[in-house]
Amino acid sequence: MTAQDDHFQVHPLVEGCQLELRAIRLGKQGFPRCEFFHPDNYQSEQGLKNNFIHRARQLNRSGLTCYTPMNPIRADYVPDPGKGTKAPGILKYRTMMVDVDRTDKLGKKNPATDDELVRAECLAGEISAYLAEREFGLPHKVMSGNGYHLYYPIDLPNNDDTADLIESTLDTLAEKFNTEDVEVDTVVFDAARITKVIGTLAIKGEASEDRPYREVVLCQ
Amino acid sequence: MPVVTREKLEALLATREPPPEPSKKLNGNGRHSALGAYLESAKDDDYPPVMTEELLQKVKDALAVLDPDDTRGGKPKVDLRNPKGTWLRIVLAVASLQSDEAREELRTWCKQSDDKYDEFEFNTAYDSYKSNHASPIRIGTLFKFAEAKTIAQEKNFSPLEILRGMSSTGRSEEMRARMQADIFIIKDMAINGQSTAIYAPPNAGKTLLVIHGLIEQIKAGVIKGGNIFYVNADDHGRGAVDKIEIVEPYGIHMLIPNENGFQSKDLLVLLRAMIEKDEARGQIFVLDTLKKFTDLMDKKQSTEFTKLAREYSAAGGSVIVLAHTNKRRENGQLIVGGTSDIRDDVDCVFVFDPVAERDGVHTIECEMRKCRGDVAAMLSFQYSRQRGQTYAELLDSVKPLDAIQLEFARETEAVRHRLKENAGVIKVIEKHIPANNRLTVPRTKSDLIRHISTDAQIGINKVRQVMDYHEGDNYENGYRWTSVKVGNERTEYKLLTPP
Repeated sequence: MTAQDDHFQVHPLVEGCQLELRAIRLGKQGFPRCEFFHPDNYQSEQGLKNNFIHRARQLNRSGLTCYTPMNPIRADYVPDPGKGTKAPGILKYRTMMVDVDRTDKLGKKNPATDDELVRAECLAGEISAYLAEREFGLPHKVMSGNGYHLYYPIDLPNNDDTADLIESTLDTLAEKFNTEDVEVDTVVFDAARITKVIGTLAIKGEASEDRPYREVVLCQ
Repeated sequence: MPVVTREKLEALLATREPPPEPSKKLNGNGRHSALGAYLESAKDDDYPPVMTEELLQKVKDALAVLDPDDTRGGKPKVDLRNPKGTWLRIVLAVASLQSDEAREELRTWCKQSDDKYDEFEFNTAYDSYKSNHASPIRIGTLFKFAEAKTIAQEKNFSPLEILRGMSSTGRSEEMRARMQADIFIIKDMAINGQSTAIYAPPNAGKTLLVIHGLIEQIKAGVIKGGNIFYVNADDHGRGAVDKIEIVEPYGIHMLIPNENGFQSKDLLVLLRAMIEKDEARGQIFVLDTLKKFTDLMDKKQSTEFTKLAREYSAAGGSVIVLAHTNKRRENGQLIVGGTSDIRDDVDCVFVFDPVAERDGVHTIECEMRKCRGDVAAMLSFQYSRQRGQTYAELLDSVKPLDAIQLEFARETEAVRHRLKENAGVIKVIEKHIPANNRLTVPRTKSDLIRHISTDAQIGINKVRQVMDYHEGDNYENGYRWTSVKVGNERTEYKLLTPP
């Protein structure tokens, strides 16, 4: 399995929907770079995927961290010039992300240490086990470079009710599981939320021996 | 991988523990002795409460309703092993206060029973109170007895008689005298004796416009600055000081959390106390912003707050609450934040919508969404925010707009937005127009549009739309080219020069 396969396994293409690649120089000034990939411009689905991942790696090599909306973008959505996808451009909620990361106490400016990552993984494991007991199934677990993401497939309309439901769900998990060092990010409920492209490097702050930049990888 | 359904998510939410009850009772912490005593008396976990005149009066009132001849349990002697008799429970309830004043009030009440009062028995019963009892009797028992007795007494009357006694008919003159004239705290927006909610997105200028509105009414002599309490809980240190400096000359009281003994959590208790002590009349409270005083997402807390605001305005005071709208809009309209309770229960709701911003000049449209009284349906203001400007200068820049000025500002914003949106296509067209004019036989309008569309890979409809939209004579109105008819066949375009 290549990183490209991994990415589209977690974020499968929805027929007819666009892809957006948003490349951001984290911690530096400057606007994000937003590029859209419309299926009409490619002869096959594979061509679209290849171009998306190729471009992501290209931008990633030049020091930008690459993100993409985790929910499908409507085919007829026309973004504001230079801007990324906004909520009205999202076709539906297809993914719920549980983002487990360090708390501010540990600092978030630079990459995580191995120890911080282990703590995040433990908490992600606890949440995953708890939700499995509640018949949520096993999620895709992705190491995001500095923490862990659990992706649960959902199929809900893009409206305020769903946003509220996801927000409350994340709040519930945060209330149950947050520790002093690791927490569930409760603001990742909006439809247009972006997430890192699997297989790219998470470039955040200054890397050092114990705080290296890490590649975003699918763990399960 | 199975899809997580809405039902599963909702089932997870059901496992959520309810949030802790909001603390209605506060510690005085010695900063304000009167407030401290009032608050101490309300505390459950620190029994007995501090004896105040108010509490003593409440005990006296309760005793006055009850019968000192009530059974002693032991007929006539009290049976301390059986504290079920009403008289003994009353004695223990008062004893729980551990107050000499209350003890004497109780003794006076007991002595009203000539044949049953016994000094030794009274002292024995009183001293038998054990505060460390597993479920000790407390003063609430006395109040419950008094309430039950009052209800029982009322039951002896006919309900019809009770209703007649409560009728307001015949009191119109007295009530009219008590009513306040409809005066505006903020012109055309907030009426005295009402609760008004103002919603806006963050940084839209709601604080600025509210302070401006209040000051204008003070200047006009309609309201007095000394009657206004502006609770600024949404500002950083410098911003708070700037605003105090602005309102100081007008005598407006500004309350800042954690400054000079004021704490946000004290406020609702103080408002309640003002109602009880009949001190609310004419006093205006501005709460900036509401979320610092109550949880807007919690239905119970929101309802409690609006109930208090209603009681406060019924007692003659006025409340203006500032709150945020949601980030999301619905059909272009701002959505007010929190549960619906606040907007349902207040008298008047305005939503401030920033409709335009150009070169630091902000245009705000204030839309009335609910009213009780003769407020305006729509108001609009403009203010100018520049770098390095003081808050006083910002306040001075506020000016009301009339409908025509508002429409002009809206149109200007629409043009600015369209120029930004079409920037890429405009650039391409600006390149093609001079090139077309250099041809021996320039292309017709349709041909030119087709040519641009093919050359720049832009949809033909988009090119036509942009060509038409930005065709005109005035560069400043967003037009970028003009056209003249040449013969019967074609239109020749010319680029406009920026002024």
